[in-house]
Amino acid sequence: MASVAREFTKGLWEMIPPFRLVLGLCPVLAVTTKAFNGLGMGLATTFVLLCSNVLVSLMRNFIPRKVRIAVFIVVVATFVVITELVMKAYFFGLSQVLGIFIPLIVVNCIILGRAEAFASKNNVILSAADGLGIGLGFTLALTFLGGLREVFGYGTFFDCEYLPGGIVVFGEAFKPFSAMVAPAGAFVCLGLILGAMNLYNNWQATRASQKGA
Amino acid sequence: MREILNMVLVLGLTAGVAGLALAGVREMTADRIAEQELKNVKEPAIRAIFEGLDNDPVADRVEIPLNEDETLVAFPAKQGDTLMGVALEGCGNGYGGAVCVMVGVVPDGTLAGVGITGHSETPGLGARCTEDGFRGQFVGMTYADSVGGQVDGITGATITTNAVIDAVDQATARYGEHEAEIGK
Repeated sequence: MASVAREFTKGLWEMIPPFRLVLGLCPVLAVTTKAFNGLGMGLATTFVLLCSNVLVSLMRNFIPRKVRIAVFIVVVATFVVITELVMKAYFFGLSQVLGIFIPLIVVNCIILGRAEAFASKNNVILSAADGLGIGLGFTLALTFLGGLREVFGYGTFFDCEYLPGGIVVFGEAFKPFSAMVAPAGAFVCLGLILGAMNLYNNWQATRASQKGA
Repeated sequence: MREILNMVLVLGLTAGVAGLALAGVREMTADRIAEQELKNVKEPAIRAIFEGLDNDPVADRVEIPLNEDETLVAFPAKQGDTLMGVALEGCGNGYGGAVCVMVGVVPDGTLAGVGITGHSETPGLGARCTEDGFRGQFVGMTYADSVGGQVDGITGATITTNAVIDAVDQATARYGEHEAEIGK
């Protein structure tokens, strides 16, 4: 069972998308203007990723190799449309905010990538752990990125026009960096976080090698 | 041959099951989605057009079947017992798909205003139809004929402008046809 835990936790740091597994950048850059949007998008993606991983894994012995991508896409698209309909019915405000990016989960390469690279080769439990781990990692990353951009770009945290509970970080006198909520701000933040993670990993590696020596 | 048959079978079955599942989910959520749209998109548009209404236009709505597929939904806006006007939705073909407009019609033959309820026009060009500068000019227009001659178009977005005009004309024409049924 240790490997189930390993498959799950690898998505939270070692392979966390989009920082380690640099895939699916389109929704990452587009929807993370606010922490709440990032959380919503992340959870929607997690749901699709978990379901598609489980189903692809169940079907892996019946899918002919030559049509596997087509079958994966059908499976993924089905769950995306289900997510979209349910979101429209129960979380209408969120679906208005995320708009076109929900249908675009179909072409998010993280999902197809996990189906092809992992779920089609491993059993259901491992695939579910993998999907959940990567999905939650993606959610964390999106929420973090969204939060960072929101704090500097709007001066608030977890603010949502449809729900109460937003925190005003800076007072009235705060002049927002509007570049942070523009697409360029997303690139800058993503790059800085990636750089910080690499720095940390390098520092750890050097420390480990010094200990060994 | 066997391989091809197997591929066709698996892909066909997957697509079939997926189609069935989606039809089921759609069936289950359709009513709720329609309700959410009424509450979150149409009602705010109606309230923006008729300021000071004190009834619930969504609860008081009148539904008139036009043909097998279409139903005309009219939202009466009242202040006390007096009818301020009726809001109806009309749609026209824009540049990126249907442009749907909530049109506030006053029984004296003028418009109380319009609100865009749905569009997928180009940002910066056609999408400017939602701005007050464009929408505002419809207030007080007479609609006996097409409103087309009275509208200042959006620069670079003739198709969108025409779509909005078509949508308004559609709504006022339908109002004219069914005035008696709506008014009661």
